[in-house]
Amino acid sequence: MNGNEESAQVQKLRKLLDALPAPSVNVDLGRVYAETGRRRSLQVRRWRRAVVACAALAATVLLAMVLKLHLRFDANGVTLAWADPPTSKTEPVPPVNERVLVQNVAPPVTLEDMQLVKDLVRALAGRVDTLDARQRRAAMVLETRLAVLAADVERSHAADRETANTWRTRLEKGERR
Amino acid sequence: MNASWDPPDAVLIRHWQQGHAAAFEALVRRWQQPTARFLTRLTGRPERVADLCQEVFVRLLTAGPRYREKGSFATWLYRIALNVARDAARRGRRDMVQLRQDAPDAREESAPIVCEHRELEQAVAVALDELPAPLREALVLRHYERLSFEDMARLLNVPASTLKSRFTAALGRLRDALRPWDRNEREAHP
Repeated sequence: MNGNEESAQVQKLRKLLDALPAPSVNVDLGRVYAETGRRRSLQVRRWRRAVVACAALAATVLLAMVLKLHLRFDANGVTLAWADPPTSKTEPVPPVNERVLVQNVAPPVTLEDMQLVKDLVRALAGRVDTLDARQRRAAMVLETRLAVLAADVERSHAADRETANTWRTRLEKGERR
Repeated sequence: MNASWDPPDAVLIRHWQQGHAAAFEALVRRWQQPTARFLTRLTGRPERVADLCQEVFVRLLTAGPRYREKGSFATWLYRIALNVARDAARRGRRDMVQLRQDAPDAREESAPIVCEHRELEQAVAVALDELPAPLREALVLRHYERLSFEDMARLLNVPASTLKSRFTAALGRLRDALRPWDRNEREAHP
């Protein structure tokens, strides 16, 4: 196939392609403007939501920072600290040997301490005596009450016996008649 | 605006960017048919072209303030239309090519000629539809819209040489697909 023939074929093909029609379209400008407005308002709403979300996030972060940030006024100056500021200077930790010594050595006992202990013992003894006397008195009261009750019971028994004897005598008399 | 004077696109765009709605309307009236033709050939869906066209001009109106006079207005409009066509293709896979549903031609032609013409239209539509998207885009832009390969390269972000070979490949495939029609024509008009 030579160049001319090929060119002629392409021309024919192009002619065939031109057979394809296109529909007639009339763009509705009113709809175009309305749709554009709707999309713009949607975009604005989306932006507004994003701004609100960002502001909320920023406020949260700021609040967290403020709550953790400490401002302290001392006589020496102002301390600005992130997280809780130290309340006092920490004492240096003594070496292990020193700590063992501190634990083993007992504190010295003074005469005042001894006197205090004696007073305590005496006071405790006095308290025990008082309690003992009180309990003894209570026991005596109970004993007296028991004796009275026993006498009452005895008297009641005697009365019952007497009544029984009286009835027995009457019944015997009645039988004889 | 003077009715007899047809201002170029650049002038209309400048007026539109200055806030003259009439300039935008003039652009729409001027470009609605070429856009519809381009979309029909690109999508093979004439029944959806009105909606797609509407979408193109909505996007044009939204993007209007961002337009800078770097290339021609046509290239910019075709880029928007191309994106709309690609989005539509992504949304719903192109199904069967639609036959024309409109009334018969007003031209006084005999029934066999009208039928033959319809069949040819259908064959061309099917052949175009069967082309892969890159080849179809190259063919539609070059053959139907008469764009230069340089403009096409700017529009598609593809080298001009690649587009030339795509166009040649598309023509080759179409020639094979439409060979029976070529023969019929030769027999009908020797």
